[in-house]
Amino acid sequence: MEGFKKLVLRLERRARLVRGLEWARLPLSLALGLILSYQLLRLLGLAGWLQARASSWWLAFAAFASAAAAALGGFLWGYLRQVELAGLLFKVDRRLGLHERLSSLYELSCGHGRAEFTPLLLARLPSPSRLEPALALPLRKRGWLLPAGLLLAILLLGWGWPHLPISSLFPPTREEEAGAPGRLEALEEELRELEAELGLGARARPWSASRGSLLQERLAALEEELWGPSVEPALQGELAAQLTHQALPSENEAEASWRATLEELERLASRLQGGALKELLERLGEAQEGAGRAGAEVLRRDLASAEALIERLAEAKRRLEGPGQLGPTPGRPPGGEEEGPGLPPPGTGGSEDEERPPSEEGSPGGEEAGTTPGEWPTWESFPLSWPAATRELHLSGKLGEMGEIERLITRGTPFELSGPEGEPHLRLDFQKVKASLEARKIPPEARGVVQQYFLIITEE
Amino acid sequence: MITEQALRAAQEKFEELRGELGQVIVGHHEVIEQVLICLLCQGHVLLEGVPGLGKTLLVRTLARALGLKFSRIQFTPDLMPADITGTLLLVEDEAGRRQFEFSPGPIFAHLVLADEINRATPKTQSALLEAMQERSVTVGNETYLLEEPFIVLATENPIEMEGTYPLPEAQVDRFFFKVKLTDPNLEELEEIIIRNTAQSAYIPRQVLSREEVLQAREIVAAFPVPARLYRYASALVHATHPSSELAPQAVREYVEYGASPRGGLSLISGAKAHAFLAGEVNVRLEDLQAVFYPSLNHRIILNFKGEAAGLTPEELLAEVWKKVDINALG
Repeated sequence: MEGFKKLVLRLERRARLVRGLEWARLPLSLALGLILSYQLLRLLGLAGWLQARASSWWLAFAAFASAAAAALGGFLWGYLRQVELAGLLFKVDRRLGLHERLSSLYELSCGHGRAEFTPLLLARLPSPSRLEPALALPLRKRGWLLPAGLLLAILLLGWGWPHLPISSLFPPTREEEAGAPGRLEALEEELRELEAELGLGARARPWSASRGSLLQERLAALEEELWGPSVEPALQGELAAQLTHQALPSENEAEASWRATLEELERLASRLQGGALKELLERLGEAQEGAGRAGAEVLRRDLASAEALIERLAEAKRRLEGPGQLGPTPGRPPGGEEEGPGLPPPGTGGSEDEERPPSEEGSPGGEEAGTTPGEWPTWESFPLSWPAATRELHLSGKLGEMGEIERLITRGTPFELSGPEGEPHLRLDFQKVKASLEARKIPPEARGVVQQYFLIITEE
Repeated sequence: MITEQALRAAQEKFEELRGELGQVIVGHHEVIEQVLICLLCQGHVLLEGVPGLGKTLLVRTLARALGLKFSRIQFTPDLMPADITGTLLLVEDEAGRRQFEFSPGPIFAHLVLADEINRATPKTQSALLEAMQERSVTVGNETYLLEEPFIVLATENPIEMEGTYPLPEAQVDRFFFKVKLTDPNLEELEEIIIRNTAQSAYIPRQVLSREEVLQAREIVAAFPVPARLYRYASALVHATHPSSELAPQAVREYVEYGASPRGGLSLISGAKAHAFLAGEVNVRLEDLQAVFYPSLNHRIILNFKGEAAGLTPEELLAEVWKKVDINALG
């Protein structure tokens, strides 16, 4: 009978193990399924909100730790619960063809029935080798195909595992190549050269020292460069407006917005001297694009930092909108105290308008109050006839049936000034208007309205 | 004391008895087994079959092979209870004094064949069924115990129903098994003809004594049963009730009343005896399955819809067996 009791204990342990693994399988599959779902959402671009909050490594760790915890919890739940021995032995009897002898012996061992049958039953039990618990209670290997398949799918998608050789099984796309580590190293060299041209070498930190904050470093340098004296103030204002605009979208569009920001920076840089910054921004855009594709976590992890940078740019823009700014601002009529004594109040005639001296501009970007870069097209070049540092003009006068109006003309619009300094006249460069409308892909039905507008405000 | 030797000897004796019956009865192996099960379980058998299938021969052969007292009662509409149980006769002794003396009826035997039991009136049937249940007969002020083993084998003719008194369900429930005899197949029929037209018919020999039968009964009653099989038998019986949550749809639709608790007792006891006859030392699932139909088929009462549909209890029991899963029981 002792042998039987030992056998029952072994079977019970085996049953607990099998049940624990069975209970672990379900939560593990569920957790892996959630991870895989997240991956698919990420590939579809629907999981940016989560990426914006945490790094991929952290997400990978959290996800797999959760899966492991779920599996462990399920295992403990299955292992620690009481095993109904009568049912277990009956199952073993049926599986091994023991003619219910084990379960009958168990009944007798519990005092149910006449003990004389115990030796009769024990004599009819098969050899111990046939009573191996692993044979009686095998693991259901087929049941583990699901979690194994899920795990394999997760690894194949390569989420958070850039060092696995899985990605080498598939030929990289062009974008992936751009984001590959070797490509990034080459970019680093190019950027270093560009920074040397721009005089940024002393400020920028080595790539290798702070690979994770590369974008932040470069953009910080770019920010300083853009606010430098060599950049046209109008462009600085537009840059600030664009950066502010890009910082506004919701968090789940952060990555897309950031790319749009880079594109806009690229466009603005095209106007800078030498084209050096343009190239720099192109490279930055490529690097960011490649990072998203190839899983280079450098740029993505710094998305939050880049957004913080944007916020700082916006803050700089707000500073520019402070006292000393040129042009009208919301809630403050043109010609206020800060605008200087030379500026007449509205409606006093165009002859009294005058260009604002550079010292009164406050800071670069002050023209944003008079223009709305997000709405109006910006023009390919500035008219050379504008006096240096003149950002905007208030012109008063009669305009046909509209009577007396005041016009705000900003640098960047397709006008040229003529006439004496105190009585400037507008001349519309219609070719520029037309070319810009086409370049901007303004719908044909809207082009007439824009052209009409410029004609109206040009009419004297 | 149940020892390996005692168990093996008892099982061999019954195997020999089965062989002896097989010398006389052609085919009907299941019927013989079920009758032996009833013998081992102190149960009575209701044999259903047309005349000429060997019912009387079976009982007579069994009695001879066991060395037991056998009696046969042909039930007719004018049969009175006293014709079964016996009666008090006024007798005069040598001194000339008159006194009542009990004259035992044919019920006082070990094996009683109640032929065409449904032809007697309910009053007479009740007299027999009371003896079956109580294993005693009361005449006048005296109660007379029936000697063990006492087993009634009643027969019913399922064809000729005119002028019969069908047994009430409550009385049918007292039969341990209802065994249906079927027509012999071609080979069996040929063998029956050969055996019964020979010059000398085989005369069975006694292979078991009354005491050996009682000892075997004691062994069978002690057979261990796994707890899971107790649960399963209960679930099977429960599932024959239309109101049971375990009942299959057919039972819900076509059954008026399900099996009584006697059905469960019959299942487990019958399974023990089946295991004994199979040479086992404990009850198996297969034993339960073997006695499932004869234990319950006479305990299920179909409703009008079921009878109109021409369903048989066996068909419904098959649904029950399919529906109740032993592995699903907690």
